[in-house]
Amino acid sequence: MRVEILEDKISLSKAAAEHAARVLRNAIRRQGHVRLIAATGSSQFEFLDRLTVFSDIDWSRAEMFHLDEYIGLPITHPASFRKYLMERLISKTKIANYHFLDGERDPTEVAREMGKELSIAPIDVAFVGIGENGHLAFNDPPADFQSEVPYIIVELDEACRRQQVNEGWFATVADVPARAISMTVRQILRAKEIIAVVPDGRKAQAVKACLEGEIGPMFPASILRQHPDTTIYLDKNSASLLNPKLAKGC
Amino acid sequence: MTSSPADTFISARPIRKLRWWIGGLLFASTVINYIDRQSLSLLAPYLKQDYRWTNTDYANILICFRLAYAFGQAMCGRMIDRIGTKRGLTISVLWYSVVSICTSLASGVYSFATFRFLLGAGESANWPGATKAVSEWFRKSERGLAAALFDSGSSIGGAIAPFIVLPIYFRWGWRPAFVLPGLLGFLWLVAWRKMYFSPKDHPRISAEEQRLIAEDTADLKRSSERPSPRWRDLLKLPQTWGTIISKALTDPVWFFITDWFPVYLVAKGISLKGGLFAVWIPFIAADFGNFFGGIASWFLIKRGWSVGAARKALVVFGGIGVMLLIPTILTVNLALITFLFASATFCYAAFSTIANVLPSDLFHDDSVASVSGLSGTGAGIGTIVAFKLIGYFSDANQAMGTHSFDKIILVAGLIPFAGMLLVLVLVRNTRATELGLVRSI
Repeated sequence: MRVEILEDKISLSKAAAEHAARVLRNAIRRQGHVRLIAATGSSQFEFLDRLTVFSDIDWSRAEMFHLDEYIGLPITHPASFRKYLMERLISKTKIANYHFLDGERDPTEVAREMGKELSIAPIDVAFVGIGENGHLAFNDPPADFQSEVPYIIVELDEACRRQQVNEGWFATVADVPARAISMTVRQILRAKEIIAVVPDGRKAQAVKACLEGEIGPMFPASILRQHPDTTIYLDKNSASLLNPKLAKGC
Repeated sequence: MTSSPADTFISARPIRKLRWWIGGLLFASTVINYIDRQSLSLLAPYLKQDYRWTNTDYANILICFRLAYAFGQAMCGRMIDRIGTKRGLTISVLWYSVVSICTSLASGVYSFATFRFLLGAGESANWPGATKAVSEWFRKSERGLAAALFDSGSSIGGAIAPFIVLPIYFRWGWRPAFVLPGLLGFLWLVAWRKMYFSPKDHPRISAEEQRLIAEDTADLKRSSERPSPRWRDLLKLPQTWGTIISKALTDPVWFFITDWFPVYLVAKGISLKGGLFAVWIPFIAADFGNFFGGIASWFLIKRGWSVGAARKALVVFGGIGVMLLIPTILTVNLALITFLFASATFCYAAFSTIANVLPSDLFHDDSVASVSGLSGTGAGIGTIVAFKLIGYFSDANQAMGTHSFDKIILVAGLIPFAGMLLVLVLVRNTRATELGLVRSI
């Protein structure tokens, strides 16, 4: 795993977006298309803003999947990840080939259908974030490191739901759906390349646990270290608790 | 294929100590042999990703190599006896260099497995071939050192492989990373074809060296006129089993380190880009361990220890030392893991030298090769079983992240210890020694 520590959130987003754009362009040049996985959440705002301004990415050749979605939340709800992606990625880039996890339909069926679509061909790149509790997609600790199916239904834990309230997506914890459809850890690791975008001081604890501690289900994002081609982008704040020696050596 | 020596070296001056140049060639062929086979284990973490292999898939590919390698040794040994060292090693190196280059065309588990099988078949000729070359060129007293020299090519090859294979991979991808090691084989072939002839035909050998070598070979011929003991008779002796076990319970651990160490590091979350040194240090340590095993037991014998006691002292040293693998379970610190692996491979290699020497300590000339072949096959079978289990358990425990290899490491640390105990029990002077069936140690 490569660890890139940038001065602040803006330079982080810029560096990560340039890296992402390079991967997308290369894949399109090499194979004529690119299959990507997009992440959501407030930590991805600036990254997606930057990524969508590149004029030299042929988005018509992109096929997009996403990591997770709340069960039972309509696309009109401000916290809906489909709404998020529609506004922040799809409408800006005009990606025509995208696959949404429909949280209002039978989740088991959605997970199965979407998993089938996803597994047709390899994923070139996955953009991911890390939750305050160390989660990867909606795989809260203790995460399922073993499921080989692409998507599973998960229960959201208290810390994860509180984070959603603090980020302003919901008024109270009770309003946050208790369940979600999430891409599995194994599926995320199947991406050829992973770019993790993790700004802000509120992530510092999780970043430390996932980069310096042991790899295990209690720190779901720690598994990224087993992936041979992952780059994690941090800013000074999210990297503030890292052992300075280790941060260089990773 | 045949070129007359006289064409190549017309009125050339003799080279002093020519046999050590031959030893150098054999060392180089072992180095290249190991670079070719290490390419896959170094690229495994990346290939696993690209081709979505599980550890079980990877294990099956390795096993294809091991199968061909284990049984190939016996067959290639016979082939080389028949067609001669020069032609035998020419075919072997040509074969596996072409296979290594062709591996760049692989596209999945089955094609990789096929190429690995072919590679194993070709590479298996190296040890029998080099051993034969050593027996042609070196006197008894120097044979141990000559064997240690070419054998140490395996550690050196393993140590330099990451610096050749990984930079090519990072720059140009995995396919060229199989091509370049293959091309090295062709360079070697040019040197081999020009420089290797048997001592009696060699145009550059001095008369004095030729005479010294001829004296020893005459001795060999006499002993081969007796009928060789049958396998069945050999297998009745505890010493034979002790010798087989000394290899069968140590080699799998070494091959675990050579073939799985990069995968183990990645499972612990350690990036290979930052951990290049970790991959070659255990090989260097093994190299020192090889020579340490030989020199230390020679020293003890000089101090008046019996051969058996001196050999067993190193077996105990190795059997206990390999347990240093076990504490790696407790850490994700790369420097510490590397140090522990290096210490363990040092101890393993000392043990392994003894395992290689035991057949000649215990058996008469006419059965040394048979017993050594049996222990090679025993080691092959042990390794295949071990790899099957490693693939299975590491996949089953992948939910444990850092700890997915814990049980495997624990067993790997304990198996040579068990081997040590069995060697202590089985290798001793028995009634068979009194009857003259085995040598006293």
